[in-house]
Amino acid sequence: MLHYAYRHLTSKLLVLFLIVIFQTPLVAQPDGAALFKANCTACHVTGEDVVVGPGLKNVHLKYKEDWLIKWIKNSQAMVKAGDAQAVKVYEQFNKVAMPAFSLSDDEVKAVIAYIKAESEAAPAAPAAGAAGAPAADAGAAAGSDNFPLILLLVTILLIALFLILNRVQKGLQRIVDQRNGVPEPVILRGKAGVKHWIREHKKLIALLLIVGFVWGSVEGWNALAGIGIQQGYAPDQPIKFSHQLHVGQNKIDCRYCHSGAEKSKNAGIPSPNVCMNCHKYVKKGPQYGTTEIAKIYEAIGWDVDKQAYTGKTKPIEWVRIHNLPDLAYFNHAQHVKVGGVECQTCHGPVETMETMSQFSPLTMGWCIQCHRDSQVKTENNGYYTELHEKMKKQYGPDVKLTVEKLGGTECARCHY
Amino acid sequence: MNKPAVFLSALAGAVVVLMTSCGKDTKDPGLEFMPDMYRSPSYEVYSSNPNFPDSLTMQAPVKGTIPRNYTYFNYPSTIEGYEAASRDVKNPLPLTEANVAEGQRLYGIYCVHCHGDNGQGDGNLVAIGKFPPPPSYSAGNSSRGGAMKDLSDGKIYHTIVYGINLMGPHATLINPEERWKIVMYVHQLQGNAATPAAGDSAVAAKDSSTTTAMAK
Repeated sequence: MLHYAYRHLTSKLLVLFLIVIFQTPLVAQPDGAALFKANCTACHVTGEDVVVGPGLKNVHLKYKEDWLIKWIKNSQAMVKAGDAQAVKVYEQFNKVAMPAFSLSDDEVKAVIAYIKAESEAAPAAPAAGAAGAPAADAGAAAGSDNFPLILLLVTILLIALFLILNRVQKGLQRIVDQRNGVPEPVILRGKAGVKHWIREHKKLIALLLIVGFVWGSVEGWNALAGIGIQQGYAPDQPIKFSHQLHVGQNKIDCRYCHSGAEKSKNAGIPSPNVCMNCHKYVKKGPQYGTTEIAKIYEAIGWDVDKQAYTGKTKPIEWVRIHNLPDLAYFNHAQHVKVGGVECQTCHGPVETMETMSQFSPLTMGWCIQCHRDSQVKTENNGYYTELHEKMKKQYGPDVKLTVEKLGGTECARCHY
Repeated sequence: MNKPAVFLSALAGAVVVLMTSCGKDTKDPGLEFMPDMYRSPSYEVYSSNPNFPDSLTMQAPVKGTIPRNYTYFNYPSTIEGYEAASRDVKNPLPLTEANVAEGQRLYGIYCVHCHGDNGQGDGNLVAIGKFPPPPSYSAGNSSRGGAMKDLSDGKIYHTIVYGINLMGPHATLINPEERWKIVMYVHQLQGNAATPAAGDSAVAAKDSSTTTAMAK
C-alpha cells in the first residue's frame, strides 16, 4: 500500500516537474499559449488531426525554426516565390491559403515552444480519463438491463426453497405421527380432493377473486385508456444521438438545431449539414467513439481523409416519436415564438434524455387543459395587439386572459 | 397447508412479479385505435417518397429560384466575395434598441456556445474543451486580415452565410433578417458601435413581440 502511494507521488511530482519545465521559459517571453489561442486555433490543433490546416503535433521536428517563422509570417509569399517545401505543404492541404500573421520573431518562437510542449505532454493525461469512463458506463447499463431477470431468478429460487422445505416438514411430521401412533390421514385424490379443498378454503378463494378483479379492472382500464397514446415512447434511432450530451453538457440551444421551431409549423429535424457545423471538427464522441459520427459523414457524403464532400448522400431515416393525427393542426412557431412557451413545457427535460422519449401524452385533453390554464403573455406581444386591447375591454383589466378566452378551445382552432 | 394452496400462491406470486418487473416497453409505440389518421396516406414533410430518386418528400427548391421577399446575397464564398460584400453591403435595418435586443437573443441561440456571452471566444463548448476558441470580437485578429473589432457589416454577414475556417455556414439556420440583427449585436460586442436609438420604429415594435417572453 505504501509502495503504491509512493509510486503515485512520484508520477505527480513528474507531472509537476514537466509543467515547471515547460512553463518557466514562457513566463519571461510572449505567452505562446495565448498567442496560439488567439491566432491559430481557428484552423489548427496541437494534436494530429487535420482541422482546416494540418495538426501541428511535432511540427518543430518536421521543419526548421527559421523556415517556420518565415512561413507563419507570410506563407503565400513563399508559395509564390516557389519555395519547394512551401509549395508542397500548400498543395498537400487542398490549397487553402494560410493568412499572413503580423507577429514578431519572438512571438512566433513562443508559439512554436507552446506547440512543442503540447506535442510532448499530450498523450498521457487525456487517454486515461477517456478509457475509464465508458467502461464504467457499460457496467452500469448492463446492470440495469439485467434487473428484471435477476428478480425472476430469485423468485423462482425462493419458491423452490419453499416447496422443498414444505416437503421436508411434511415428511418429518409423518415420522412424528407414526411414532406417536396417530393414524395416517386419509388423502383424497382427484375431483373429490379439489372439492374438499374448495370447501375448506372459501375465504381464501373469495379474497383472491376480489384482489384479482380489482387488479384486473385497474390494468384493463389503463390499457384501454392508453390506446393510441405513445407517452414514454423511446424508439432506437439510426444514430444514437444524445440530447443529454448536446443540450445538457454542451449547452447548445434547442433552436440551434431545431431552427424551424420559431419560424414554421415543424420544429424541424436538423439536416446533416447542421451536424457538420461542429462535427467537421469533432470526429469522436465520448460514448460511442467514431461509429455514430461516421454515420453523419456517410449520410452527407464527407470524406474524412480528404476533408472533402464526395457528393454521395444518403438520407438518415429517423424514427418519428411525436405524432399527431392528421385531424389535428399544431404549429410550433405559434407556440414558441408568439406564445413564448418553453420547449421543455411539452417535451419535458430533454436535456437529461440519453434516448429521446415522448414526455407528454399529446391527447386532446392535455392540449385543452393547457389552453385553459395558460395566461397569454400580452406584454410587448405585437402579434395580437388589437385583440388584446379588445379582450381587456371585454373582460376588464384584472381578469386572467387565458388562451381559452381568445378562442383557444374552439373546435376549428385545431380541427379544420 | 396442502399442495393446491402452495401451487396457487406460488402461481399468484410469479404472475405479480412478472407483471410488475417488466414495465412498459418503451421501444413499442403501443396499440393504436383507428391508426388511419396517424399514419397519413399523403406524403408528410419527413416521410420517404417513392416518386423521387433521392426518396425524400421534402425537395430542395428548383435551382435558381428564391422565395418571395428574399434578399439574394450575390457574393461568392471567396476572399474576393468577402471583400466585395464588405464594400457594398450595409445593414438595411435601423439601429434600434429593439433590434439589438432581438439580435442578442438570436446570438444566444446561434452563436453563444462558441463565441461566448461577450464575444470573447469563450463559450461553453470552448470552456469545456470540446471546441477550439474562435478569436475575440474585441481583441482578436481575423484570419482574413485586420482586427476582429474592425469587421464591417458585409464581412460579418458573409461569415454567417458561408462560415470560415472551423465555423460552418449558417445560412440554412438563420434567415436574412435574423442575420442582420445578429450583425448589429456583434457590432456591440466589438466595442465600437454607435448607441442604438431608444425609440420604437415600426419594425422594432413588431420584432419586440416576443423578446421579453423568450429571454431566459
